[in-house]
Amino acid sequence: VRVFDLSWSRSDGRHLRDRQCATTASHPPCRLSSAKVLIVGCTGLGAEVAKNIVLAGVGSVTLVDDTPCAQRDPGNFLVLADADGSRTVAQACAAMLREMNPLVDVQAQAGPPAGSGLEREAHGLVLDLTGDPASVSASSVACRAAGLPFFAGGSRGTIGWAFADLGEHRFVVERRGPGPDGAKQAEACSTSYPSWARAMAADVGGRSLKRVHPVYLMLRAQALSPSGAGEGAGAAAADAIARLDEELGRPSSLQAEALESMTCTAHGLPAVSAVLGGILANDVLKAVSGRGRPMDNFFLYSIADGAGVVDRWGDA
Amino acid sequence: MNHPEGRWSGLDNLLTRPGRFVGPGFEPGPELRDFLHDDCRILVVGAGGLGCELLKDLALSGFGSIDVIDMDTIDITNLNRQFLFRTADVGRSKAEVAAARTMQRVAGLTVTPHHAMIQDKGLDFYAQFHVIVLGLDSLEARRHMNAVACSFLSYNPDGTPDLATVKPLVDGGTEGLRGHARVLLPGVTPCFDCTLWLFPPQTKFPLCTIAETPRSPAHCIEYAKIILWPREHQDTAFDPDIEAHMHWMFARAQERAKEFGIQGVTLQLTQGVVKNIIPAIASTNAIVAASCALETLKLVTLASTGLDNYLMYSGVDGVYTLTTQYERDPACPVCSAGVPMTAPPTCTLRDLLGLLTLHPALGRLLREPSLSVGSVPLYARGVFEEETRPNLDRQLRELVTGPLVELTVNDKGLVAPLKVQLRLQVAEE
Repeated sequence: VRVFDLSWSRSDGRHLRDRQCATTASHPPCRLSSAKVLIVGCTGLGAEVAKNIVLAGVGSVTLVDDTPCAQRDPGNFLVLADADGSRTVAQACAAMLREMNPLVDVQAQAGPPAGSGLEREAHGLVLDLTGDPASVSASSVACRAAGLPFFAGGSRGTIGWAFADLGEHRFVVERRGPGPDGAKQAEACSTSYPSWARAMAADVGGRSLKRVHPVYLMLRAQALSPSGAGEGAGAAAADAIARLDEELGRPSSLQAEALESMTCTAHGLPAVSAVLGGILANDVLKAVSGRGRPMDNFFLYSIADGAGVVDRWGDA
Repeated sequence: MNHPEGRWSGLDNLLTRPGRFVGPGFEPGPELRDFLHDDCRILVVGAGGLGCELLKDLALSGFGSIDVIDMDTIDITNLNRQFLFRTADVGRSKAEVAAARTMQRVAGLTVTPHHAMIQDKGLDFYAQFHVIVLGLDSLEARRHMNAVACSFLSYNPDGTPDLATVKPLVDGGTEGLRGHARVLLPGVTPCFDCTLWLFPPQTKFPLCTIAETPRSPAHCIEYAKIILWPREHQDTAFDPDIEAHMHWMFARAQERAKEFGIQGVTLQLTQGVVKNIIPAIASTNAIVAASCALETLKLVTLASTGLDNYLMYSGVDGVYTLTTQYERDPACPVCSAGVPMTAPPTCTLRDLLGLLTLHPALGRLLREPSLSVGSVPLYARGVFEEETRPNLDRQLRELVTGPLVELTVNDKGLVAPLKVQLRLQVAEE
């Protein structure tokens, strides 16, 4: 099995190839090194995903977020403590990421995260990590129209979430064959993913309360409520959940109270962003390489249960 | 240094509000964050893939005083995940560079590096820390740290662990798209030795060990395969079935072994080993290290329900996590109040020593054990050997008063003495 990709020849190419060998042992190098990824939202979560995929060696990463460094998410470790407060977080992150892996083309694109006119067509995969439901919804619609694989994610307080919409996704899963020395066998699989809109309109009433993760309910409530992802989002989510419960004729969901305390801060705890960032990055690598099964279609996390849950909402 | 307003507001929400999902005895208040920053001391063992991520997460989570220990220097192959390092750092101490870079990112933090082997630090060094977090890549290193943590444990006369002497360990490990995070509370949760069966015989090796600090013949062979071959055969894939390829690999592995004074590289071993390098990915390290950092935060503050006690993650086929509550081995040689043993009163001390070295759990830990009851030596190596030698031929009933005796067993290879609960009992015919 070929481990290195010859297209990485540089004057000191020998050493630069060596640095990628550990990652490429598990992912076909040519697909990874030609992948062009767009990340909207340089939150703590955005920084984590960007770090992971830049280190893994994707072809290029474009960052969009014009928040000034002085107002950055404190969990964004890519921005140094003494960063120039007037630069945008996208610029500061791009500079640090280029240092981390000079092989990857990292650009900061001007403009606000939830802007129109983003050149999504110039990319192969898009991540909206703003955590803002309006932005996620708009990004999802644009990606569906352009036929682009789409991930979204956010972290607030002690909870985090990730979502994947890869359309009709074909991939290979390697399984060990029978017997103690079973050779690996590749199995071809495919999954049809629902859009964000369908995932947000899925029938909640059909499931028992225990099997509806509170973070999914929070996303539903945020999608409905006008205050979006602002400071009052936790309380608005709790309200909306109470209304959902009423509509469905269920006793009030104890989740609402827990949700309020979990989400009252705008930013995620840094370690929560790191867990989500790792999960999303691994799925980006799987989506790009076509090897391994990506999440289908939500990953929902809270530090109280610690482990995270994969759940499928919505029909394709 | 300027940080945005409300930098610690997320942490404050966690630590200053009562909640429903908190640990037993949680007392919310601003003192908790002050404790984290001013008084709490954390040790991170390893400044590699997990170590860099751990330092970042712990620093951003409010810990103000972190020590980090690692004997390795930075290699080019580290750079795809050990994100605190740059090409210009190759050759420098991982601990030192990691400490400096972490302090650059978070104001008001002290990270103290130790460029040393974990075996070079004594128990008094490790005693300083409230929690020890492991980012290691080998079973032996984990077992050493396990013995260190368990050495602080004492038991109350009623047989329960003295909770004031419990030194928590948080351990993480990764391999490609798989990993684990676990919490070890000596005497409460299982220690490493209690759950050794979780570790299958190691057949894969971390890339950084191969590149910088090979210790075994297999490391040398992997170096030839993963680093040297691609450098010198850019257009040809290695094919183990081609004799010339295999001989080339063998010759290079031998050269490497000679350079590091390692014995045991044979053609047969080369053929057996040329497969399966651990792919090392930043994202898996991120997940596991962050889980460990969160558990550390919870251990110190009790702000949420802690992991009890082993989390497995697999990203190979979807995303899969499983939390298991493993149980202690009540007769564990390392963390229990004593390994139970039985011997007839007429057994000689010499024979008892023999039984110890053949014991299924103890035997592998002992080479030349010394024995004492409390502070009274029964048989001691070294200075008191001649004086205690006559005891070897004496029967146990002459040396100790039964029926139940607590023996202390010491040995050069041990981090701390072990205890044996010996029952003197006539063997049933």
